[in-house]
Amino acid sequence: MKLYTEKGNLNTLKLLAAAEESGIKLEVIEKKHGEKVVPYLTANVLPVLEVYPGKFLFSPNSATRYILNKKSEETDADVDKWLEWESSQLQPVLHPYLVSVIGSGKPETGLLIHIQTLLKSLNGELKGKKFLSEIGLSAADFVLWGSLYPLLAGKFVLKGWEGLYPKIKTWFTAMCDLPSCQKAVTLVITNGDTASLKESLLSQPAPLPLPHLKNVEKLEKLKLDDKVKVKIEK
Amino acid sequence: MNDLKSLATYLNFPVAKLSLDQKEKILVWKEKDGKTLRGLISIAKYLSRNSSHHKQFTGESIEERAAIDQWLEYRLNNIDRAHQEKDTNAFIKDINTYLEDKVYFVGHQLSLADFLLYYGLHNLIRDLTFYEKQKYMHLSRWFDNVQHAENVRQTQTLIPFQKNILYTGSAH
Repeated sequence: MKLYTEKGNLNTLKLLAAAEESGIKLEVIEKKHGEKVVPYLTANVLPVLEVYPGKFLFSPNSATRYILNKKSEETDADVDKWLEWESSQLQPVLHPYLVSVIGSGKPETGLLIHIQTLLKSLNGELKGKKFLSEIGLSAADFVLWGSLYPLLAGKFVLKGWEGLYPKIKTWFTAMCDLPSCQKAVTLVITNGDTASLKESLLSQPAPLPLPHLKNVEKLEKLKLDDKVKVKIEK
Repeated sequence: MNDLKSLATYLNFPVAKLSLDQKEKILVWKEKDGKTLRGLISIAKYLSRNSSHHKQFTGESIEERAAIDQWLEYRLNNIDRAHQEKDTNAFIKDINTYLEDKVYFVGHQLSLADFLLYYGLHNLIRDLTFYEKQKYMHLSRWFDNVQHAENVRQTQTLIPFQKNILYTGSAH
């Protein structure tokens, strides 16, 4: 199986960790930033797993689960839930936040409020559990570990998160201790410096925004406009 | 919500277990024993797996199941959240190209991916002109095939497609 990726691609972490964990050899092919791999897609998404010649998995979550399932298949509803949550709830706020902090050095604090709400619920769900699913270590853990890595470790770490989310801390530490995850980090993150994720973050297409978060932004703008008005009136 | 109601009907489950969490804007499926599922994909996969009908519906191999997962995610994150014309145009074009050499999204029979993509694309395809339907001919062929599959369409309107070519290249 071929894995197409680029230097410092964050979504490759989960895939490589899963491949290490299941002992599946991947032929890694490094593309240039912004290069297109899947012939039928307009967007230049990476990483892409070529399962058979011409058969692509361009969703990193589906590909991560596939790699683990090749070794031993699960059809667990908790794994469904966390992969859906990660791609549809977390990514639309996490990706632009990482772009703002790693890409431009100007963290968008508005996004951080949404991320913290999500982290709080993740922390709650981890109570009394070693891994996200009752079945044990699964794609759900690798997917979330990989996505949250630059937020919970390294140069751009979210200050004080360990105290706020102690259950996430226990889980994240256990994940980081896995040899498969350590190997993935050395392969993706140059010298352990999360600043090396910048080029890829800036070249990958952003997830489409959530409609109800758009409204929140509008509300915030409205409030700002109101303040401006008040000032003028005074 | 209409899509999961139709899916439940298709797979012989009681629709009443489905509701919408207004606060988080997420679909919820509640079983009598308190088991709760949240989210379009999670509910759809739960129903498909636990249905005694349509065994092939969730995919026949690990490869097919992964591909179905991917297209469900695509529907949720790319199709449902495309509110700008450029995003809509991008996925229509992509899907049309993808379907060029395929009858179904994954494998050789109707799967959960076809079912939920049919519902996700219905209103958009309904609003296409005949010229656009011809332009996206692979998408149109797939859609017309799925809307005629047994019990898929249910209460959705049947969308007309022209069987013969209306517009020739030279005219445009």
